[in-house]
Amino acid sequence: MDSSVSVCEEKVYSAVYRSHAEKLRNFLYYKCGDLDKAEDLMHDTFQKLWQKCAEILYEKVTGFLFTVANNLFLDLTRSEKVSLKFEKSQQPATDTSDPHFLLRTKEFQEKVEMTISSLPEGQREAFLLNRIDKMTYKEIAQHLDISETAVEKRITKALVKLREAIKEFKNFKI
Amino acid sequence: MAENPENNELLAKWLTGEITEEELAQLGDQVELDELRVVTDDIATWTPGSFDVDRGLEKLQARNKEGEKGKVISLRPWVSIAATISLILVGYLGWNYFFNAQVNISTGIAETKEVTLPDGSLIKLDATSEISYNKRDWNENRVVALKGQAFFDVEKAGSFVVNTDVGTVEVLGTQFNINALNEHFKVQCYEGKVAVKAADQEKILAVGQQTELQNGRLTLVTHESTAPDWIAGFTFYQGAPLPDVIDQLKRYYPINIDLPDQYAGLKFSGKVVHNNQSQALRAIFDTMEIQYSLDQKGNVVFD
Repeated sequence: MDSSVSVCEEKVYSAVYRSHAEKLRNFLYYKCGDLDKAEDLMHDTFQKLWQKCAEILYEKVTGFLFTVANNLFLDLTRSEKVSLKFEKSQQPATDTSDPHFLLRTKEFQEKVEMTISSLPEGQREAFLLNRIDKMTYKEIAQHLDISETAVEKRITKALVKLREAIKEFKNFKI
Repeated sequence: MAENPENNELLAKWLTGEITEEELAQLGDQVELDELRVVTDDIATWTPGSFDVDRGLEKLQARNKEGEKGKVISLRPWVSIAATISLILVGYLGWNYFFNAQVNISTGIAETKEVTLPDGSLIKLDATSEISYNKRDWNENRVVALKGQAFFDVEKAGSFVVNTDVGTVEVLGTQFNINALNEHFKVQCYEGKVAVKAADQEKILAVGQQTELQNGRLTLVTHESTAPDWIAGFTFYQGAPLPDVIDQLKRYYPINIDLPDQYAGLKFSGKVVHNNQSQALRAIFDTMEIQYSLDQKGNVVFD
């Protein structure tokens, strides 16, 4: 896209919304753990984008959205504890002969949700943006304005916790 | 723990698959990793909840509109400089120059006009219609204000917007017709694509589609014509409210018709020509079995 594209054009603005809204809502959800609040904050963020459309270069839109979303979230009383819940976009087959059957049960999903919810905010959002929103480490780094190494560190820490959680769950079951 | 904690840092690389065999061995128990893979793959299929992007956008646009009422537009520095310069220019060159840049073209009853715009785009203007545009910055700002009905054949070159009192049409392609008389608003697309906005809604029309504002909603239907029928000298109606038909008729004939209220709810279907008044009147009123006559002054009167 060339730099003459203006976010003040409704067509451009709508296109930005279509490509970013869900990711941004998810990002806010990973932070606050409340889907309605996340969608509300996401729309607040886009409203800010509209108000400032003349000042923002098209190339900088993504960074702007994530920064504003983050700030709006911080303005809100930082929620001490989040409890994230997820839906599966596809239902797994219940095949008890599957060696990993245990890891696909509803019970285990709750365990994973709890583990993810208890991660520090930075690790949680980096990990979920990668898994659910399919962002590369590089993209996450750009969106959160941190280094790629920092992203890798956060994801690693999240994976270590997850690995431990799996072990715990299996030991408990067996 | 089985794994060497120092090498946990390889987990991020492991997740994306950018890891060598050697490094993989350093990560410890392979069964554990296998399980971790199952779980991370599973998480990749999760979603916090479905997201309806169309509904969200609608909601947001409504909120933006709400917010704009109190919005203060802050000009970027260079914009305000440009404004100052243009104010000085106004003083220097005088108002006349600017007034000349604004082009207004209108048609009377039964009159049609063809207008070629500075970029070669063509507008065919139907009777009792009016367009205005700014010819000076035309190439940067292709915006036309329209009252009435017109057919547009637009040269491809970026944005082309038509504003009417009821809604706006943005050209994404090339040929379309707008009918925006009074509260009436109808757009037909003949070539390319157009974006139509009215009453807080937006419709993208492709070839063969038309949209019409009815009871506050933009409806979407198909049409089969290759050009608007007014260009061929008639209008074809299908279930159109009779008062609208009468309003349109007044564009082509200098005639007074005061439709009694009792007929206001009727719908008319049929073809009305633009060049033969008695034939047009008969086409409308005879088919609807409404008795009428012409008085001395040529007004249509009802019994």
